[in-house]
Amino acid sequence: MRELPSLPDAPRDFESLVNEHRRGLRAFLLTIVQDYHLAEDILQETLSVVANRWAEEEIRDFWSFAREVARRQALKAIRQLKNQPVSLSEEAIESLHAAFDSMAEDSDESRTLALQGCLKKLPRRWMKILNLRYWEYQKINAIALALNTHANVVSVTINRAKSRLADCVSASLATRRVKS
Amino acid sequence: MSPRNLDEKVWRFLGGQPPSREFSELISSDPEAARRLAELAMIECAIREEALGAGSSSNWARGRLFLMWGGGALLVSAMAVFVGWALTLSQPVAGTPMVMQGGEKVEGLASEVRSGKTIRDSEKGFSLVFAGEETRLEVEANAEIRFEETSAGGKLVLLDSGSIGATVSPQKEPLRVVTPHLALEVLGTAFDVGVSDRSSEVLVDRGMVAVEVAPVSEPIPLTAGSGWKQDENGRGSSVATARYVSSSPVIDQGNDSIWDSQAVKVNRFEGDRMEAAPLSNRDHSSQWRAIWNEKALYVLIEVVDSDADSSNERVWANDSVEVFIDADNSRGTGFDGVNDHFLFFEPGSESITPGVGALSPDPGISHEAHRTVDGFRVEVCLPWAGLGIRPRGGLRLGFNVASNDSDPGDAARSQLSWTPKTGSDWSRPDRMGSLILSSPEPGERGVTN
Repeated sequence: MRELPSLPDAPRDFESLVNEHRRGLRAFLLTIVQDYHLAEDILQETLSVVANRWAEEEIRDFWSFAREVARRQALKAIRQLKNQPVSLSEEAIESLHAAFDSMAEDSDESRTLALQGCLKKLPRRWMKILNLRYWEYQKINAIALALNTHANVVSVTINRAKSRLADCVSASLATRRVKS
Repeated sequence: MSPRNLDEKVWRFLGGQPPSREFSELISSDPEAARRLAELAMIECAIREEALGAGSSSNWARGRLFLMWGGGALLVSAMAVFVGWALTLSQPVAGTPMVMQGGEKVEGLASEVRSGKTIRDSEKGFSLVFAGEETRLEVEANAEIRFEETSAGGKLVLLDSGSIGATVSPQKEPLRVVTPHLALEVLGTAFDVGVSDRSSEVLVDRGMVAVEVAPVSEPIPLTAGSGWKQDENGRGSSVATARYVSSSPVIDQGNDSIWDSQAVKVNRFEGDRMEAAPLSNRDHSSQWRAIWNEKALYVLIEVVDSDADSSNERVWANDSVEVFIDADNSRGTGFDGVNDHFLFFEPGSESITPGVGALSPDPGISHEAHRTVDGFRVEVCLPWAGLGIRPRGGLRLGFNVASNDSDPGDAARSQLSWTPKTGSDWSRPDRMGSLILSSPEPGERGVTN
């Protein structure tokens, strides 16, 4: 098991660090618990633990520290679930730590700006489906009926649209880094 | 693993599917896969946050509006449904779905259909008919279907597995049939549609059907005798029928009325090998038709081409047509050397050129390829003996036709292909379209000449 990093970090405001890494932590939790809403709940618990430790001791690497707390909280939550689901192996989660580390250089804000630009580039029908799913909270079957198509078509379209957005955001962030 | 396959696995995982051991190993051993999982998890969160941030207050307002407006509408709807069903008890309203089995109405199944439930009869099929119209859906045993009426008053049939044969009388709103792989829109026609685990296929018997395929595309118009197959990977291919004839056409330069079956337009080509799109239908367009009897398969290809050119060394770079056949429908990823054929025909030439890697032309093949007023025309007789199979109604062959147009002084040729092909698909029988031999009408069997 990983040790909790506890060497002093450069003094930073706790809230600003949370805001900087909130989405990364949420995404990291999502890869462990596979449920966005459960990830959100565990994120709150995680931040509570981190805040207590932050008050007690100086933490050098907030991102790594918070992520390790998140991992422990997530595995604890999974163990407590009635029908204990299978999670990724320890080794896979370790690889994810490295993957999320490599993405930390881009702030949530720049990622959001990139996403907003990329959403405008999506084909109109894809955007319509995403809009119904995420902005209107419609279920897949309801979207399929609304658009006179099959639920599988809607699911595939949503996943392809999100994959394309991920590619677009990565490319946009890379361009931004080169320019700066 | 291709990026698309990886993404599909990741989305399934993020959607809650338990990770397999292989998936865990992939994430732990491949940093790129781990990175992709992290990226897609980030984008999932980013979209949700973006949606929440942009619409939290308006969604709340919309929710309240729905409760106020939707509640009233629901009450009105419920009353309408009650009145509607009360009327139905005495006399079916026009368009009301009914279920027939062995010539008898089956009320139990009908009420399940009307309530939008998924219907499956594992023992025998049934007919879904509609009061006051001649629309009839013949649902095969084990097919899973669900029927709904759309808000615009159209009929929506969701077919999850199995097959239905449909005869649709003219509709005010298009009837839609939706499968896991494609959607059909029809106003009045007859067609068959079938779904397997890995693909859906539609074949039009009469009239016209528009096919939409996932995720987004322009509708593909299908006419009688033609069809479309869409697989789980999003790859589509054309389907057509060859009409049975009890006599044989004369392979000559004449217009033989025996060919008068529906022509299939060669009008689809996708991919990087198209060096130049046709300037217009007059510059290059083409259509083909096929008929069969016990002796042979006959194919007629008519090409419109405003400027003749046969000046190039290679046949495919000249005005020419290409015929592809996977006679036993074995669908390999390369020519099998047994009965996969790839043949070139040039107007004005008596020779047949085999494509690279394909069999030499069977000496029994006869053909006539000549210039016409507006292009060129190729008639081919392909004896079954040379193709190495015994024909029968319902037999399916891998098949494709392509036409090439070269213009004098213009280095770029254009190619039109019946079933979509890209890159090196020319050497892949698994990517050919399908040609289905129609069964002879009763009493029609037997070649007379």
